[in-house]
Amino acid sequence: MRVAIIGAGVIGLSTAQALLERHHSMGTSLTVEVYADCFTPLTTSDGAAGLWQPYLHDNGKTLETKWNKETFDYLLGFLSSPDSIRMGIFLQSGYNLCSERCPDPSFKDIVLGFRELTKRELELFPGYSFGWFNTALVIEGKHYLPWLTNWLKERGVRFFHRKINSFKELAESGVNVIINCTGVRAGELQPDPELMPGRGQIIKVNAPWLKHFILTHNFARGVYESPYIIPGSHLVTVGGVFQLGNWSEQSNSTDHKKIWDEACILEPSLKHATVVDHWTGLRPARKTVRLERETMQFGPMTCEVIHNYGHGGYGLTIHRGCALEVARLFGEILDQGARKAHSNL
Amino acid sequence: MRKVRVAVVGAGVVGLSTAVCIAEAIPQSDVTVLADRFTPDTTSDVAAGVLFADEFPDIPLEQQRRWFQRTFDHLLAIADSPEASPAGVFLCSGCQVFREVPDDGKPFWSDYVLGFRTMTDKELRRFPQYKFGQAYTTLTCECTAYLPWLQSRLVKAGGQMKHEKVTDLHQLGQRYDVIINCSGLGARDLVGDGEVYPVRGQILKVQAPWLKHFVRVSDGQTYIYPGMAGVTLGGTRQIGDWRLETDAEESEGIMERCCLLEPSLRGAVCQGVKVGLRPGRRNLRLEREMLHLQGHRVPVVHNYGHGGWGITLSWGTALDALQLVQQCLNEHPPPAKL
Repeated sequence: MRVAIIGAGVIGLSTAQALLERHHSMGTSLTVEVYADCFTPLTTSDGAAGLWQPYLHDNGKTLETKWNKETFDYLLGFLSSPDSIRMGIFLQSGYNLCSERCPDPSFKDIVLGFRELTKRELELFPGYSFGWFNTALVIEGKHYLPWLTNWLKERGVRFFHRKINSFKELAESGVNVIINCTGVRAGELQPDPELMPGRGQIIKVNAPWLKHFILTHNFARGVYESPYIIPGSHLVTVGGVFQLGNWSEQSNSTDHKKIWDEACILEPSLKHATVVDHWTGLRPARKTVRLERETMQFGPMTCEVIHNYGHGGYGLTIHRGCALEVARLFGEILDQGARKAHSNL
Repeated sequence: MRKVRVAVVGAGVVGLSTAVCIAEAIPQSDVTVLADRFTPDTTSDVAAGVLFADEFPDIPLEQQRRWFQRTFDHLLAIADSPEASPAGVFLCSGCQVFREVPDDGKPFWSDYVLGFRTMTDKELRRFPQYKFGQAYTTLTCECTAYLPWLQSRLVKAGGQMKHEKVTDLHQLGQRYDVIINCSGLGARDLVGDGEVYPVRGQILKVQAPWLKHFVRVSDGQTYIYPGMAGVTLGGTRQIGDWRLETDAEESEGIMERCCLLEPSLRGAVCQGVKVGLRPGRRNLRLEREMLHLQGHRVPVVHNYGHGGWGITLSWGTALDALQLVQQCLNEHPPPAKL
């Protein structure tokens, strides 16, 4: 059974891991290969600040909330291991600020110590009259992806630095199951009008006195279109913009100024922070995550495809839950294959 | 009227805070800070600077609350301004953990820090040896940045600093109209206060920039305090111990205890080991008296004995010292220029 995963961001790599964890009993009869034209540290996952936090409200997408929770609990479990630093995982507390009262977020029972902000705390953030404080996690792609890559390589997974232009080309080479983790460019393999880039630009600064994340929410502007500050293991990420439909991967000076000016109002101490870098990434935005099977026919050949893309700005937040779901769907494929083989006797 | 000559003995956080309060509030004052040691060589410089306090047994709780609140509010305003990083003051969140549920409920300052609450069971799972915890957001004030910042502020207000070891207040009788004694542990010799004793503290500074929360064990012996340039791991509380040298075995002990609390520390690189002698006293001494020094009646305001809470109570006690100075000046204004 040859499985090919297209995409080596957090989704591709973690899905490969979940497959192997769940189906390792297949031994050498299962080969897993990863194909990508882009690897760490150049993927979208590498540039993201890595704060574990879903969008405030899931609008009924309870399955995604379940996957978010599975991911949080999974990552939390690593904190007591000395490996946590090599994986790029650490706890961080901080503030979610809103200009008006709004319903509790989907993650309130998932994170630690969730509570409303007190009046004194809100006084620190003029312009915001409501918000929450909680402890969440940061998971840094530029550490997590190399750790995952290592984990996979140790178990015999082969990596191919190559752009895949069609599902057909893999099927014709003998791949039985394709896992499509191509993120924002999934449309190149199969048109998907629901998938669009959600362009984000960030500034990385040196501000080691900042210990909390600060996320603001402006419901008129939309998610991530409002300033946020997320301390990392070394630098602090300052954002944000979320420009739907913008494919430009170049950093833009107008965006830079807007991000910087708004962040400095939010956090006056940034005045003395040194700007170290900037980066632009394209979030794979979609109304819902596309996580489903598709059977494809290429002439006499059947190829099973499992799609796992469209995680927007919460790929790191949801990755493990989705990976487990893919592993489950893969199990279904195996069962069907076994039944079919059985019925052919 | 000529300027009032004020001498502040001691250039730690208490001395400098007091000097700044006086220089800024009394424009006709000429404030000089006298010390044998200035930043980065004071006790304050060794401290991690996380705002936290224990109760003094005999001082009215209202007064201790006021000291805490005033210091907290003063530093919070700095943290919430562009001055935060030059002054070394910033918000920090974390927790204090207890092996047994404490019977004395909440600490006296719980209303003055931000978001004080009991830890949830899920949060306590990180600390399997502890049954109870309190979580809150407080401030860190790093004196290696804060003291130079206070010194600038003092100079702007017309004050100055002088490197001088004061061994006897009599040395100052002729030169100054008011003396503020912020000599910390030095008060033992300077004014013969036998109630002052060292509480030795050894700390490690490690590189662990991924740590964003402080963790403190309730007995005060083990703590992890993330700072701007490194994480302070502590500690020791050795009463009556005057040793300024670092102890390798104690370092190992501190590292071991902290790694149990925070396993990720096993990957941390040690940047250094330091020792500070906290100016211990059963109660902080903040009062005035009139002394006869070299034929002059000189008011002396004492402001020392802050133990491990110097930074935490610095501004609040400085304001009270200022009030005592103002009382002294009102009762005995310095002679007018003839």
